[in-house]
Amino acid sequence: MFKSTMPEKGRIVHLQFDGEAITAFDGDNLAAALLRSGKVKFRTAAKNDPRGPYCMMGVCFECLVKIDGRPNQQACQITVHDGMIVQRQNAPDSAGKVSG
Amino acid sequence: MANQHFQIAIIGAGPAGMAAALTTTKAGLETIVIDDQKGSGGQVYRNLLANQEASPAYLGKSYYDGTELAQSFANCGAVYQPDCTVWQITNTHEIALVSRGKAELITADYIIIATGAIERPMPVKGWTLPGVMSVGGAQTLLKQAALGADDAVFVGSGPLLYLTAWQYIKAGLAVRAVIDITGGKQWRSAIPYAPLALLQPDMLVMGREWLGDIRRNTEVITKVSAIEIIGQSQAQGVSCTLSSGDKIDIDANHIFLHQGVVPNVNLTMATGLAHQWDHQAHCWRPVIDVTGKSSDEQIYIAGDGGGIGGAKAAAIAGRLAASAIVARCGKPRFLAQLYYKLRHLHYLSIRPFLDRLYLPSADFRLAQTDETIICRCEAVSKAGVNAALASGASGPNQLKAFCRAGMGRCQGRGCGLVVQEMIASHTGQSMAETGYYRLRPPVKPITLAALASLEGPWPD
Repeated sequence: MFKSTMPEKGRIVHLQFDGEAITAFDGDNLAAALLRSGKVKFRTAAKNDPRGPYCMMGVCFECLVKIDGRPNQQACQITVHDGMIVQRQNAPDSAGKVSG
Repeated sequence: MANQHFQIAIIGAGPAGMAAALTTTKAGLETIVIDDQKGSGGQVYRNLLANQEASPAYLGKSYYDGTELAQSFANCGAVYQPDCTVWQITNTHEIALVSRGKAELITADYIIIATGAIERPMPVKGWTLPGVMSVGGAQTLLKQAALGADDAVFVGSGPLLYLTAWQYIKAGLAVRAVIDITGGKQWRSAIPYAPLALLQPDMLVMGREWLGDIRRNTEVITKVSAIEIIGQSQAQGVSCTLSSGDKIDIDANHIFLHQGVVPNVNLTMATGLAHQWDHQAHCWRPVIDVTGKSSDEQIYIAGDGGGIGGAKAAAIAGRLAASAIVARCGKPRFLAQLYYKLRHLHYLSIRPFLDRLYLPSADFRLAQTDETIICRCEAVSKAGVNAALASGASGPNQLKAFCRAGMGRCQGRGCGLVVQEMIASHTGQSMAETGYYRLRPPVKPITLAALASLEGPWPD
């Protein structure tokens, strides 16, 4: 699990990830904030293939999540804000139905 | 900013873009610097100014070497547009931007593309599992968020891998193992170029320090013939086959992969600039002259995006391209240009050695098992690509239509080189003959709402 390598500082920001309360630091990018909370699975690709952040620089599109209802947001490129509602973004399952 | 015109537009605020801006602004040219990240520095000097205050020592000298450049850039007077993505450069040199969901067009007399490098794909079985990241990604977390994971395993080769493993150790993190895939064959091909590399003693000394500290602090596994990530819904370990045939299994929830960097050619290719296959570095690079001028007279390419040279070479390349443009604007800088050319050659003197030493073998460039995912976006496996080849797909674009590899959001950044090499080995054609995906704008996905926000006239 990821942990801080420096004393933590900064204003605490509260967000939700699939209904679970998560705390982050002001200025964190969302992917880093979720990883700090032990979340590594961000979405599923085709065939229910689980995925999480890979490149952290906006190139791989593996960290896509739904933020405040908007899908396809790159978590590694977006700064957290108070009250942010984040959901895992799941690809259509084998029945062709999108869950989550 | 809509419909604004600038004399110089620089795309990318890494070392090349920042250094270029220092030269153009000093010459009095109206300059805009557009960057898709939230702060300057690119990837190599990411978050450098913000890290000044606490200045963690574990990031090392090579990182803080960029401080003066980043500070000068912050005060240079260029219009700086962070958090802004260029999704098209038209043939009339309009630059299409999108920032916070709104699209805009600007124009410029000269454009410097300084969009840097991306990591070479490393398609091993299980590399899509959560918990597996690129080494670059792990390093970004360390620089940007001061985050690291204990008991991680680093797998691959190349300076960025050793630097990041070293930074982990210096940050007090326990590194479970470094699995080094550099083989004897690479050493034999690189050694003849070692004398030339001696022109960069600082780099060699630094590399030796990283490797020495890594060996003293963690297990280093070498002579590796195959790698597989173990896990169902997330990474649980690495299975490593040695050339002796022995197998080593290591438990780990965080596994970082890396096998070098290649120019990020998505924008330069989508702009229609000429590219060539670089045999030494085994990647595509734009065709540029010594000043960075591309096949389009008004467009220059500086830094790793024009060929991998590292941060210091990139900053000089930025200076060189900018001074060539300043000269074309009627302010010749003969001595400065000569100086930058020589410095650039000097920094590049280590590349023939590094390129050969850290070019991964075909065993690692290509996937080893049928179920290994090649195209991460569309979840296309090696078997899927091979089936398309067996049905007669003869080139990257036809293959894309057959099996969707390369059709996803990353637009081939994660699979293009692998697919190209699989085609080349199937058809027996060279990499140059095989070619690459035909890249088209928008070079990053853009929403219809953002497009609709664009004020005319529209690009062709």
